[in-house]
Amino acid sequence: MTPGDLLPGLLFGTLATLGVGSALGLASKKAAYLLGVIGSALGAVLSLITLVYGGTASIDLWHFTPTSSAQLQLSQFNSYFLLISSLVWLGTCLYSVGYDDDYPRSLSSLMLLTILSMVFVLVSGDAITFLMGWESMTISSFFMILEGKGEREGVRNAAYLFLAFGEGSSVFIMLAFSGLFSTVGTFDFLGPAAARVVSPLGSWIFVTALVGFGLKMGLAPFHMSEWLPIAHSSAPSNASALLSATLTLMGVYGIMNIVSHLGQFELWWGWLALAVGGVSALLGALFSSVSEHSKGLPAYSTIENNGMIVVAIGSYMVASYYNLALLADFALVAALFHAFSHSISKGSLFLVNGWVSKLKGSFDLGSPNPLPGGGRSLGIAGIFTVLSLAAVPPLAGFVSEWMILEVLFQSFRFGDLTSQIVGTLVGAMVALAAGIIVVSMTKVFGFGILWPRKSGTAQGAGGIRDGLSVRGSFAYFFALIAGVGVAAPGVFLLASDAASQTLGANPFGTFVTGLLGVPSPFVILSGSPFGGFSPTFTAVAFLLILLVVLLSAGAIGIHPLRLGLRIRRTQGWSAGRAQPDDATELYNSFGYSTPIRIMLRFLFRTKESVVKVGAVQRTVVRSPDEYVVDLEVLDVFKKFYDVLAKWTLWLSAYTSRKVMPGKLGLYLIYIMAAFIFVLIYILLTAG
Amino acid sequence: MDSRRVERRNVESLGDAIQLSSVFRAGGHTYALLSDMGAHKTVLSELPPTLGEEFGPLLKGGEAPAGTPLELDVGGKVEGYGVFEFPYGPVSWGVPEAGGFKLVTYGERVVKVIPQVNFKKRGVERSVVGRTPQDALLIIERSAGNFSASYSTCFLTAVEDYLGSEVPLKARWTRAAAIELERICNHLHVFGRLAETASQNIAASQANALRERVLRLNSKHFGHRYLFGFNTVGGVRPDLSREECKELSTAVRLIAREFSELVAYFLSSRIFLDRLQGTARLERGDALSLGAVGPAARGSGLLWDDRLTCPIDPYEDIYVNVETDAGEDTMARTMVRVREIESSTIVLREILDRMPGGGVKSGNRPKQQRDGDVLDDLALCRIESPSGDLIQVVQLDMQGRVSNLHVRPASLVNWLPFARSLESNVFTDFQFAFESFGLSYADSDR
Repeated sequence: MTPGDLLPGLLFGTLATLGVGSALGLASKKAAYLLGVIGSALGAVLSLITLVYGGTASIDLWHFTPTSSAQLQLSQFNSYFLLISSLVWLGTCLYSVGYDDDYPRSLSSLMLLTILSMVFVLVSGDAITFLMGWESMTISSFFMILEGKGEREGVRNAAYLFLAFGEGSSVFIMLAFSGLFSTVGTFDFLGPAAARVVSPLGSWIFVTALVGFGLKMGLAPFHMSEWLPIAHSSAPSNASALLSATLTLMGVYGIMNIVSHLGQFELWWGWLALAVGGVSALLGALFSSVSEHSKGLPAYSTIENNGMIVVAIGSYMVASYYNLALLADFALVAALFHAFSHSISKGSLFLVNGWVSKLKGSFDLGSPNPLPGGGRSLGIAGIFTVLSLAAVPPLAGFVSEWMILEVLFQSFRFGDLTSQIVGTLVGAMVALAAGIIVVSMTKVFGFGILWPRKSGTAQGAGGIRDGLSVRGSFAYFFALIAGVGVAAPGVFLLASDAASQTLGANPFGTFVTGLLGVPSPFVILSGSPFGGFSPTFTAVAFLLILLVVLLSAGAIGIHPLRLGLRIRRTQGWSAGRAQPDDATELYNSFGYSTPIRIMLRFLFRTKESVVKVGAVQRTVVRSPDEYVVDLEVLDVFKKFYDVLAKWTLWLSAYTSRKVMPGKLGLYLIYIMAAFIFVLIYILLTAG
Repeated sequence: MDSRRVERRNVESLGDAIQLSSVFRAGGHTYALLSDMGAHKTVLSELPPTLGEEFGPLLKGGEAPAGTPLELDVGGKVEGYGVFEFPYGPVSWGVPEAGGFKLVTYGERVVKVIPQVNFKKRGVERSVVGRTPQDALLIIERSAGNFSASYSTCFLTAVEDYLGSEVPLKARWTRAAAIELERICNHLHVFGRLAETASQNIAASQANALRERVLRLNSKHFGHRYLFGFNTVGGVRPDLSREECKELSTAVRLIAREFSELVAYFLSSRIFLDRLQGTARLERGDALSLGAVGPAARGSGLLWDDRLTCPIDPYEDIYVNVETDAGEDTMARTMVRVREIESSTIVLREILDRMPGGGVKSGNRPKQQRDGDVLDDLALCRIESPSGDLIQVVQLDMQGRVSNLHVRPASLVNWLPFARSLESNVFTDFQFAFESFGLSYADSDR
């Protein structure tokens, strides 16, 4: 019996566990989440076997047309995404056991249903099963967002907005699929064996797919679909982690799947992807840096990271167009690697922030409530998560961001000047985004996690204790983030396996080698010859430096093992005054990013005013739009959609009033006209 | 009291051109000293009931105990999302002396400034009570070293006025020369500080070098770099000869000329000018109602200079060109100081050219017998110190010892205009505003 024989069983086991968990959620939340942990673990094992042994499995469920069947397929490509998602789900479900004690039971049920739908999205080999999974994922997420604890009206609006964008996404995906179907004549075009499409409809397929999946990923100009439901509804934190870390990953999977099935690229597709990705990355980073919402901020950061992934995909397409095989291979692996490191880091950040918010009783980053001890595991997971998202070596986020920037550095290899200019400009945007995101990450850790811990009191906040499951999930994510960074060559191997289906060969050997005394396979090369980096040995070097410091401390008489006992605490210098004890005398997170709000007022539409009301001065720094919960700057695009919604409502009202005023005759004439139009159209096209 | 200089009338309300300059107690009464900016007159009145409450702690600050910080908070409280008070000072980079601020802000933008003074309080006014004027002088002229000549001259003029002493003409002219040298020196200092703040290090060094030359001239001709000890009751110590006057005059003219070259460079440096133009605007109305004095007030278009409006000898005989600028911003205040260096040089050269002959000291004569009017029992002097209008009110007892001293320094009243000017500016403008007002804690805290 080979490992490949286990696959169908494991797949059904995963689906069944999640399905049972979802049903059980109505009876017991804890049982549901525990089944979620088991189901995710099965999914992770399943995908690892597929990736490592290179097996594929295909299960036909039902032939609904002679050429198409509903089928589940496992390949190295989709199991890579299943692995990432399963790892995030595992941690999230584990966390939920301890976190979710004040939401209705339906939350656990919906969460498992969402996970189940995502598994279907990933393993479906045909468009129909995919769309069913996609719809079920959107609708169950919609109900999850409705569980949010914000103000009712706001929560409802946010959830319906999510649904609107989700359905818009479905429509565009269907358009893309219709393009594919009209070319290949079957719906089974998502699996690894499906043929590559060379079609005059290529541009149609690519653009509609980019819009459809971009809507889910929160790419500009649709990025509201990402941050608004999460932030404005104050959705449950475990749900937010699911939405931001894995639901957007489904978009990444979708667009990469479609791209891998397109046989030939137009140059401008690559440019479009580069431009959309670059703008999304920059906008996401900028909005993230000025967000005061402990979940809005990571949600914006997701937009940034998904933008980077799309930039890598765009580079892959441009490089393929110019037959730059080496660069194309590296770009695709970079996109896959970044999807991995982003998903685990973002999942972790939502969970950490969710726990802090739960303790503080507020999603406001600047809320002054002292945090009465979140535990050491929270701090450690928090610092490693933000360091990874801020791309500090040798953590997961650094490796993939380095890879993407290396790709863009090599845009000089593109075959003509315009592509080179586009590559350079997008490179500048991505680099800027990578710099600005440091502001948000220092802010979320400094003001959200670190600061309240220090000035906290000893008492618990409403008796909230972090149980084993919460601590365990923090430790799990810490291990994952550090592990993906330090063991980057291993992840590179998995990503190469996943990419080999698209690239036709496994690029691992080309890029991972030994160099300058670092043994193989610990150096990742970004070209031949271009850059090189060894995350593993960087980590070793860091540890060695730490060891040297500890040993030196020992040499001068400070026992390294007793360092913990020799901590001397003093009050910090506060300009010669007593330490302020009032939160209003301390620098806050709002002030931390106000310079950006002021400098980039043209982008944020920041309005500042000081209103003098009698003896009270009221400061107003906000966008012209109102605060719905506590987000503070205007997303220009939100304004656009607001106007769009207003016009649409007006138009429907107008239509229902004027065109369909209840006169039966008019209505019949309208139906007749439509019928005749359709007849004429069929006659003309049939000829 | 010299009725030529001070008009007595009861003022019912402030406003229009009436600026409250000082509040002091003498002979069991509380008086308000007001400046009629339109008529260029000093008015002494019973304390008007409409005195703004915010001026209370400010002007009566002399009564606060030493070392207790006094918050000059005149506005209401500030509300809004993200608003906090950023403490700056008393021991921070950028605050040159022991003094602090609370910057009410939501980050970067200054909504309101609350200056905190009195960290440096030494109780000068109380410590001189019971001393002879000569002993008191030692303390007074050292209480704010930068403005030593103004302080000592102001105190002595009041004392001599009170005693009715005859002071030789040459002594009065020598004092005026010292005051003008002090002004040039201080304005150079402020210019240097501004250049340093704008990281114009060469300009800063040039200005400091010029200032050092003025200090050396002080030392050579007046016996002390900061003009300590040159003044004495009834006269001055240095007896400047014709040759010395000529030498001093030439040296100062040279310094002024070199400074004007530096100014030409300054006016061509866009980077420098950018930091000053439009920064920390103090509107004319605010300058008037908040009691701004000196270059700060003149930079907002208020025409008030004690050398013109309440002149002591010899300013009545000398043409003083009072510099004003309607720009209202840091640039305007800087340009007032720059032009005052030139105009002070002209005044100084006139003083030195026309320096009268004769002695520089006279013996004290006993106090003349006066009638029982309480007001006649105090003497008052206003002097235009480099940072603005300095007021001292002196009373002596029957033994000729100081029984009451009230000092109203320029820096004290300029805190509120400074705080107002900074509103809605950003953090990085702070230092420019601070330097352009020429504020001194030693001066304001006494």
